[in-house]
Amino acid sequence: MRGPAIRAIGLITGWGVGAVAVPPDAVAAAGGRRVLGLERPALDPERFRRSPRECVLGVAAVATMLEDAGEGPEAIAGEDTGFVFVTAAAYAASNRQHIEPRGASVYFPYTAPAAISGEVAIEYGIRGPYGILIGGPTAGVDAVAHAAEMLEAGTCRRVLVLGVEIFEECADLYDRAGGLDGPLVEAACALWLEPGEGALTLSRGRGRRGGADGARRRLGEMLACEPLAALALHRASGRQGPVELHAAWRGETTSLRWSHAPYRARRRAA
Amino acid sequence: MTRVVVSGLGVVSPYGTGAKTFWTGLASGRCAIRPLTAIDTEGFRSRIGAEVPADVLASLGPSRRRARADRLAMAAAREALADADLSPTDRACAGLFVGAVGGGMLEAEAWYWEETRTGRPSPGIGALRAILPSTHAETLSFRLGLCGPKETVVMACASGAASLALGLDLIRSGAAPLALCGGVDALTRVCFMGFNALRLLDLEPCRPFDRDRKGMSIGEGAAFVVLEEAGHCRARGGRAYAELRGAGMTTDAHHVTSPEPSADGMVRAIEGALTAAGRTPGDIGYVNAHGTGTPQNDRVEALALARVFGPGRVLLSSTKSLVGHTMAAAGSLEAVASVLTLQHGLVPPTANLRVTDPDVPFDCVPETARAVELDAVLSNSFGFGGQNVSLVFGR
Amino acid sequence: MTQKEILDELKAIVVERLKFDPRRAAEMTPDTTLPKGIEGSLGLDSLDFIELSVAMEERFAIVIDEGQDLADEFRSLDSLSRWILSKTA
Repeated sequence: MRGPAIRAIGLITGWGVGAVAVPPDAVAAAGGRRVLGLERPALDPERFRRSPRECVLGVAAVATMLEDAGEGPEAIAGEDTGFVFVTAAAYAASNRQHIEPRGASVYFPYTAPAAISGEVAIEYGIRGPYGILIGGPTAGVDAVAHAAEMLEAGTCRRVLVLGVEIFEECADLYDRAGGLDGPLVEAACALWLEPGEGALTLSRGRGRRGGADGARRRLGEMLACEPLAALALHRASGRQGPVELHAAWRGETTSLRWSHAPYRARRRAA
Repeated sequence: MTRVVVSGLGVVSPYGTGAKTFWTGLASGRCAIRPLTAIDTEGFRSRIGAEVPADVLASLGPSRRRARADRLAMAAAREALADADLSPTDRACAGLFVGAVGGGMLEAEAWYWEETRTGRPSPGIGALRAILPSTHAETLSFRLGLCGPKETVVMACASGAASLALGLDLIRSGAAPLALCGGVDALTRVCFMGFNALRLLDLEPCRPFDRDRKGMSIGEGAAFVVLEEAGHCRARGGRAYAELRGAGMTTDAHHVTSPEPSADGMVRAIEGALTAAGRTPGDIGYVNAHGTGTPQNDRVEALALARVFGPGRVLLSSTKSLVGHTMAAAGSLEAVASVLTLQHGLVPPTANLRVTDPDVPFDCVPETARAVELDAVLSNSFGFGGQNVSLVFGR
Repeated sequence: MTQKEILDELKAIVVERLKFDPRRAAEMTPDTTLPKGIEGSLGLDSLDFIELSVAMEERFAIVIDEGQDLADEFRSLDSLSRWILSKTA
């Protein structure tokens, strides 16, 4: 498969904005905090009055990506932009809120993960082919591979890959259920992919090792956002040459390898 | 263009287990919507739906630890693989696309309600680990020896159809010669509560396309199909039920629950599927409609069909009038219905349809199935958030 | 209940249930129109109207007939509060 180029990245995490905010070691930086949370972004309060935090975070990550690209929202509007949304846990909070006895009807649509990508698509007028994948870090890698397939098939000229994960509202349940290590770091990450050079190889297997270039150790637990954020870290490192992403989740592994550095030089905003 | 055929079918529906049982039920026009027992409906406006009967569920095997949805998915997937008569080698290279929304929510919410009711921590928190809809794909790939690409597709009520669209893409990309694709959802209280609160549930069995329709009825089930590259199927002596000729997927970018009123998003999905299939509207004899029975959906869907086909120029019917709206399973159940409609030359009816809405200028095949020679059919699935998927099947 | 009291209750619903900014609710007058698509209206959509109906049934102890076309009644705060007044009288 042809390797897609990465035109821009928008990363917001519990550590701050962008790769620069990510510490060298998540456990040490967390200093015992279980959740590194994200504030609800202050976007148009009336337009987003019903939208829960995870939706607004998705919208904000795309805004950060557009800033990184030096482009306005019109650059991704329309039918030429494909959209792949990926998450494991972002919609859990809205489900919990709805399941409480006083759950109001206006919350119900947000129990579906599709509401997050739906709000983002509405905000930016994205009308191209689209899909939603669910799962942990491996699903994040799958989302990038899926976007590459969409570009290869020629069904769109660019693809937005968006991951969102939040933990605060359900942190008690994650703790009791077990299975998630390290600090839980909330994140929203948007990638702008377009046709690129070189090849992209996807491989799958069984095992427990993941985390590209030790990215996991730096990022903390971000579930599906982990590989997307790992790309942001890799780009920020300035290293050239092939890029590899590895992810593991529930005993399965997925890896993605670009034969060339996929990053496009950034255009400066006017 | 690579030709992709449907070479295996598997279904668990409110009619029982098996694609054959499903088809017999559809063809008979018998509505499977009745008072619910799987969830407590005390205090809700609507108290009916189409559930998989308890004895059918019990027959799916002794695995009580598994989530209800997992059990439905496993039974339908096993049937599809057995129907296609795939060797272990074929299975090992098969892709897997599972449309799902509720996951293990039924069990998780039971756990949650127990804690809320008693005010004490309840054991069995393990139920939460199976809550993710991706659990089905993990279970299926592991248990059935499917080692190809695997994705969980969560596009609300269009998930089941989207799983076939993605499987088609995968095979055409050459990444795998075959894929198991389908959708599953069990009834959940969250889902029922939500549609109840939005006043989208009819108090009586749903009446898609009827002038007096009041909303939908919720159902549950699972359906899987084996999609296979035509040459691969022929070479191993497999049987092709039909060909999946093309798919169209679009977004409205309009509203979190309402369809875009001019139907542009739906029209683009339908036209996209026709173009991908190399077909014109005149080639399609029947549309298996999304047809939920809500006033809004049916009106906008009819508008989309009128814009593409012209008023009265195609037959349509709603599988949901018979087995309810099975959420993430709906698109795949309806794909199986579409394939069997083509194969049998018999259009299943729209149940409970007495007076067709004047805003629906089509013959919706009320009450009784109709024999029709068909060359190609279209299946529509639309979901919350304006997610539109159309599939074209041909002989 | 007086129409004024009903209006105040409706403003409270707009904030608590429909999640509008309290300042926006405070600016509302009886002439404020509700459905989106009308210049200067509050901009309520179908989801809001359902939530509003449910909240009204709870606060005013009335039953709203779902089969009835109430577009005129739900057009403005004035028409809505008058209608509630007639139902609660």
